Amino acid sequence: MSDGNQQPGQEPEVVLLYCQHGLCHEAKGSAWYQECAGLSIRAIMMPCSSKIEVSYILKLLESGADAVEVVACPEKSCKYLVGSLRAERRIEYVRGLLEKIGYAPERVGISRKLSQSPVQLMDLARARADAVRSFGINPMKKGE
Amino acid sequence: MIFAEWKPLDELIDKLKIHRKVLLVGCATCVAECAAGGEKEVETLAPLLRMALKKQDHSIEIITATLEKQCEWEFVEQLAQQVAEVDAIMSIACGIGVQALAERFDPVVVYPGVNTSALTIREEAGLWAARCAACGDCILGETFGYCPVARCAKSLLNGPCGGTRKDGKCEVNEEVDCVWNLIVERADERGRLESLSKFKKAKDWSNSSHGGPKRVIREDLRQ
Repeated sequence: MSDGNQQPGQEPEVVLLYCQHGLCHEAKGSAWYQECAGLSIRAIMMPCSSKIEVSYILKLLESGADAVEVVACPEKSCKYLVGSLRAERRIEYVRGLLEKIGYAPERVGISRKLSQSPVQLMDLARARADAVRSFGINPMKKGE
Repeated sequence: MIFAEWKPLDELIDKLKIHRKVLLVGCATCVAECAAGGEKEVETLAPLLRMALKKQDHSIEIITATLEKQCEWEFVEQLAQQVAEVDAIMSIACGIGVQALAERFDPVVVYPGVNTSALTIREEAGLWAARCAACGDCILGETFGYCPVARCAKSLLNGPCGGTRKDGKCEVNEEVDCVWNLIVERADERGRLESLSKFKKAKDWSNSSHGGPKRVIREDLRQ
């Protein structure tokens, strides 16, 4: 299934939204996200994954992101108890909305991880890119 | 609160695709409480519609606004400048808000983006249930605070019916309490079961929609 235009060789642009606790202690305070420069990954730290609203995800896709990967804490590890659960439910809701308008729900995903190294976080973003590559670029990029 | 839900997205997309520029308007009161038409929902629905329309190769601009109350003329007036720029409005307020915009901004077409369906309370996060049917002749004082008009599947005034389940749930929906079971239990707890056996005057439905469209005049408030 394709919801966009196939563009061989074009790397999907992935926005990585991660809970601050999803990053390992050693990398905190460092400008690790600069390692994403030149890649098709944009990393944004959140105070808690529950801060992610449905509208944020949709606006990222509307503005041309090919995929969004959210990194939330595992169940029972969320510092705010139910924050990551709420994030997961919102992601499921967004995926349902995308399906209804003919977009691949795989364009949005969530991983439940703690204390990830920068390399591990980028691997999660790359895995999301792999999951959407077959769907082509985001249709919002058409006619840019 | 007045409860509403989004109409099917296909229906909304179908309405908008013939337009050039559309104003999507929310209301920060009841429909915000039921997560259908507040600012959050406007900012969720707008990108969703833009994405859907773009995918279908329709080039339509959607601008947004959320009024404090879409059922009050003072707030409705705030849209005048934006409405002048568009050729259609989609309102995700209740039917009252939709009609207020249609009346004020005639001849601009106003589409409802939601279906307004009930007067509800939020029982818990993500769960709303009907509590009032705006019947115009309130009997809550006689039914121990439970409304059989809104909460009985048959709106019985002399329940319970024979379909109440053994666990006190409604035969129509096993997750819903039989309201007449609740009424009888509360009457029993208060030692007032006999009050339910008294004959009552026939309910006056004329003060609700049965009496034609509602229109109320309060001379003390008129100018």
